[in-house]
Amino acid sequence: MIPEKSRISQGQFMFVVVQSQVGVGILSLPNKVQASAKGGGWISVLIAGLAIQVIILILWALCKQFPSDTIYSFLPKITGKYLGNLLSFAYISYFLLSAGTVLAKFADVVERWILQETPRWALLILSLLTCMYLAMENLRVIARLFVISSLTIIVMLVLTLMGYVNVNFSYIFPITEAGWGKIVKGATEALFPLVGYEIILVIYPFVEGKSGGKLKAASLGNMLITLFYAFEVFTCLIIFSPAVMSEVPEPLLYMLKGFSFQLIQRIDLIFLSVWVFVVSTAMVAWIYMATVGLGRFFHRGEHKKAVPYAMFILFILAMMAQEPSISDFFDRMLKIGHYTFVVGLPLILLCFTYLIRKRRT
Amino acid sequence: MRYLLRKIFSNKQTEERPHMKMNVFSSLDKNLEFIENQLFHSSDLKWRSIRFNHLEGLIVFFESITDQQRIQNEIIQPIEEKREGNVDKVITSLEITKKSDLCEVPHALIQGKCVLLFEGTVEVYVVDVTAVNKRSILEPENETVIRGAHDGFIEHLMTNLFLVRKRLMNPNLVVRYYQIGKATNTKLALLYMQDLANPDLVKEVDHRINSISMDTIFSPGFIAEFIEDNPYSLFPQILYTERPDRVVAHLMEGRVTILSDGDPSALILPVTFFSFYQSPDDYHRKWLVGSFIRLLRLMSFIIASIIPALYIAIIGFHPEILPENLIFSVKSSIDRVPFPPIVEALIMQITLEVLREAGVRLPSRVGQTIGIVGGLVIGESVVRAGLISYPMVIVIALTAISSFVAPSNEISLSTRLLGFPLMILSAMFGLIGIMFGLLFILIHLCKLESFGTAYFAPIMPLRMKDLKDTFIRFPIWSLNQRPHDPHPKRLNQERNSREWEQDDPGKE
Repeated sequence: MIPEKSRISQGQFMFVVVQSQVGVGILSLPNKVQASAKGGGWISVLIAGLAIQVIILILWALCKQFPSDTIYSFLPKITGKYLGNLLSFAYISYFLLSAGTVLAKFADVVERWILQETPRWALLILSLLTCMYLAMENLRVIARLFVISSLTIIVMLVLTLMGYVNVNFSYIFPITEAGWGKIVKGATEALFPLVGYEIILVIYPFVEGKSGGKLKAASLGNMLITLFYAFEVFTCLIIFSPAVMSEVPEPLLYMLKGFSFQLIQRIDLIFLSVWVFVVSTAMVAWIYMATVGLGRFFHRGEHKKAVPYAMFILFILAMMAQEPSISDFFDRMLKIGHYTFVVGLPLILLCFTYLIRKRRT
Repeated sequence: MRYLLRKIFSNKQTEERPHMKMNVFSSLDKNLEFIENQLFHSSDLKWRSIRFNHLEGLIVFFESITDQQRIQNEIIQPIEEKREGNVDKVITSLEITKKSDLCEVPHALIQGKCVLLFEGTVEVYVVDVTAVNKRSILEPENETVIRGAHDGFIEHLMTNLFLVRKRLMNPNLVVRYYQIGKATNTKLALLYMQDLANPDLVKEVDHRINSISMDTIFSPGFIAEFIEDNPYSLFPQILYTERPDRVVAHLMEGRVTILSDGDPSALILPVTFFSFYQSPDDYHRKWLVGSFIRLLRLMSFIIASIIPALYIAIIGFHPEILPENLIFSVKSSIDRVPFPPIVEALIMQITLEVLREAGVRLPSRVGQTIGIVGGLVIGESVVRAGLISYPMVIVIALTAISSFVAPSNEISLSTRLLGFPLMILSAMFGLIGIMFGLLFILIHLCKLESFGTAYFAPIMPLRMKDLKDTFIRFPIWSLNQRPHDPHPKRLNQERNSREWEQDDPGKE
């Protein structure tokens, strides 16, 4: 059913989850969680990670029912052909919109921090062409690259570690300054930078091994990334005083801008360059999720044929998101989409399949 | 469907030459006339008449590719002495065959054999008396090492096989001959270890060699282009070497080697990216030193491909990344130059490539000119004249030297070509451009596979055990397993060679 060439091992699966989760959100996350959760922001991230763990469990339980189907092929099996195909298209649009927003936010940050005068379209074309080259490959090649580019996360960690030269732990105390309610509200903010684990829905059948191992790999990936995010947020919280924090939209970069080596003065530039890898892989993950669906509907399962026009759609989306109002609209759509397609719908589908099973037996 | 179409439109129909059979005439003159006609009265076709068993006979041969001394000693002399008897027994040559088909005779003649014909006999004797003219075994000039074996392959296939067999006295070493090129009839030898090389790999290589249908095969480069997986890639996927020790080492890792007659380079496949940065030297040094030097080589790959791009990005986009005093000294030199950094870099890089190519062609007596022109005129005057800045000259010089560090010429050329697109990207997008360029290269490396082996193994896919002999070289006694990338039949290669440490009889 699944060709030998696109099978991946469980270790690779873990890195795919990791790389799809790390994305553009990390730069602005500390600022956002601090706004509601104050010094307890890092707890919010951990709570968000836990919540995602629960969602992963739901998605896994759903996928386990159809061990050799992607979401696009098991949706029609559960809900019937027409509704299933309609829902598949909804998922494709959600994935494409996610990819488009990632791209747009990436372009925003690069324009603000590094290339102030480069036209936006040129930057978009450069990044889309690179992503296209990878997205057209089979999953095994994509997974190989994801494994190697996880090294960049270690580099980012090391760069952040340098912040510990001058920290002030008193900034985070009292931890529950904002109250648990606010901390949980912060967790909903932290949920969105962590999205990307939806890739389980699409690549579950491509992974070798038993379902238990797959769950372990996905959970481990999620845990690593939650810890990484929590660490970054924690570092920002103890470096910037609460008053300053609300002024800086991308605390991580401001923090790095402050440090310097003997030879390299602007560490934030190095960080951003490394970050390019992380963002591209996240984008490729989204594109892959969407094009697998498009390929199934229009190209007899060959996802690579769907990549070029998916790129074109992304380009248009990212150009549109230049307007703050439109990008806000996209953000709201994504939040709704996330809750419906990744949390709500799978839960309903899961109950549904259990009911069907029960009735049959 | 597509398969069917391809089958219909392919022009690769096997054009078997209609094999005509022609019995040997009983008349000597008719035979000679036939052979002469078949070979178009070529001037180097010679014959000499002899008499044996009271029959008139002829020895026909090409004087250009037969050893006339051997004809004299092994055929004519015994025949003249004995005058009678059985031809098989009289002639002292190693290889004699009888043929009754006259059409095979011209083919045997061009391979350096000589043919004996007798009046009234309907069989001919084909005797192998090929001349061997070969140069002596020398150290390959472009793969020299400080320690280690100093012999290299030459243009003679048998000598090359001798060099390999002498090092690898093992019945499992298999040699398979091929003859490819319909016009040139080039002889190839495929070497592999029966108990190590993956049978699928051998079968695939055999299949690909057999499908070559060109009529001229000059060099192994032809073969490489016919059989490699990704002809559009910039990276070499087949390792060329003139060193028998390198061939043996790779054979023992389960890879296969192709040797061809008339060329000293052996093709080793499938190889990974990192094989191009391993040198036999590494294993003659202490492992710490070897590791250091290998790291140095890999670093030089990075320097050679990205340093010019990085320089352009920093000068053009982010000078603030450098410390202040460094910016001032660099800027003061750059401000006098009328070109943008990318133009500067391209001018210098292309000049360098021209110098390098000229250096290969120039006879050694005028070689000094290159040193003067390159070193003095280009290096010094170009800066004095204010055309190029000093830092740029330094950067390009560094690039050039680093690119020559690679032990394989192919990879060093690829590295330098790789620099150009990166330079252009960095001139357009700065650091971000370089990063996307590197990402693109990484994706490409991930994608490459040759003969079922991932090209960037053991990094992608990651295999920790094989990392022992990749960036650094672990002590040989810790390399218990062969590299996994060619999928050898047996993985273990070493076990407890330092066992003596344990069973040391209590020395205090």
